[in-house]
Amino acid sequence: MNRILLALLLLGAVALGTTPLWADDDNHEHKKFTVGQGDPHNLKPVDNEIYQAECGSCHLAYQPGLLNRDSWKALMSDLAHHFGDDATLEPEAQNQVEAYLSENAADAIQGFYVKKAAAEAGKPLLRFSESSYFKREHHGIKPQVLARPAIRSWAHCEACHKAADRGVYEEDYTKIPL
Amino acid sequence: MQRVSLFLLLLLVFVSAPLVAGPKMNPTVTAFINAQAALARKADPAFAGFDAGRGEKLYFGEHTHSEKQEARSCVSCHKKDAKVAGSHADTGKKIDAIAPVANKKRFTKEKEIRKWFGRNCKWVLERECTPLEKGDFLTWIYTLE
Repeated sequence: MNRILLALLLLGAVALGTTPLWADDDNHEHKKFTVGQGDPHNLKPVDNEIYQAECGSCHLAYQPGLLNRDSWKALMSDLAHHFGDDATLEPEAQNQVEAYLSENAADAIQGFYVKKAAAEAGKPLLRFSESSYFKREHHGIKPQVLARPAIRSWAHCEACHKAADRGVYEEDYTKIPL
Repeated sequence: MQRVSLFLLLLLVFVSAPLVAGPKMNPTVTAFINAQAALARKADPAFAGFDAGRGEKLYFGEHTHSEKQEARSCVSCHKKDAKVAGSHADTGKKIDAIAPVANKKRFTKEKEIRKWFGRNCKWVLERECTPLEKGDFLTWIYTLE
């Protein structure tokens, strides 16, 4: 009898100290996508740990396919003034992130639409949200919607695009928070 | 009867231990704090140890950015309640809780500790934090239960 009690006690103690292994923080179904076909709704997901860790702490680790090589190069050349923030990296991380972005940039793997946008601006585009493509896609979003505390910035893709971290920006996976 | 009491006692210990004990410092953060203490002593021979109260003031203290003319503090991104997730002041990106009692991953890698003190002190205060400030802050954040 006492052994059973002890066993139950131990079981309880273990349960208190652990999170259920079956917990899943995704509240959407998983679906397979074809990536890398130049479709901006469906980009090759980020697959570089250093880029994810270094850049993804402050903002979504944007898929490299969102911008051209020239753009990434321009961004990476002045991280000390990164949209008003000092985002300087250690030399090793700097080199690795630069290489990753360059190898996976829009013009390196798939995109043509960003190239067009970049040409419009006459200089490398530093924000995908400034491309005419992006603006067209988001023209219906009013400033007061963007200003909602749960959204706040065009840089905050994942506020509405629930699968943005997987490169998925499709309508089905988009929900604008109130 | 005595055995049952023993079990009850054990049960009490198991259940209450995580509630009453504050988060223990991991070896990495302990070593980091010790190093800051040595530096603080070097800077000021009268250094008499870190102080959680000063650390708390540092966390909530506002600094007006010279260029942007906006009031900045740690709670611009982290929350007033350090035990809940915050969000980046500019991008809105979710930032996991900073208090180790709520987030065991905090302050476990020296490189990360240095990196974030470096970046965030510059963002808020436009300068590096002193060893005294770093030690005070860590001392305070580990008092949160």
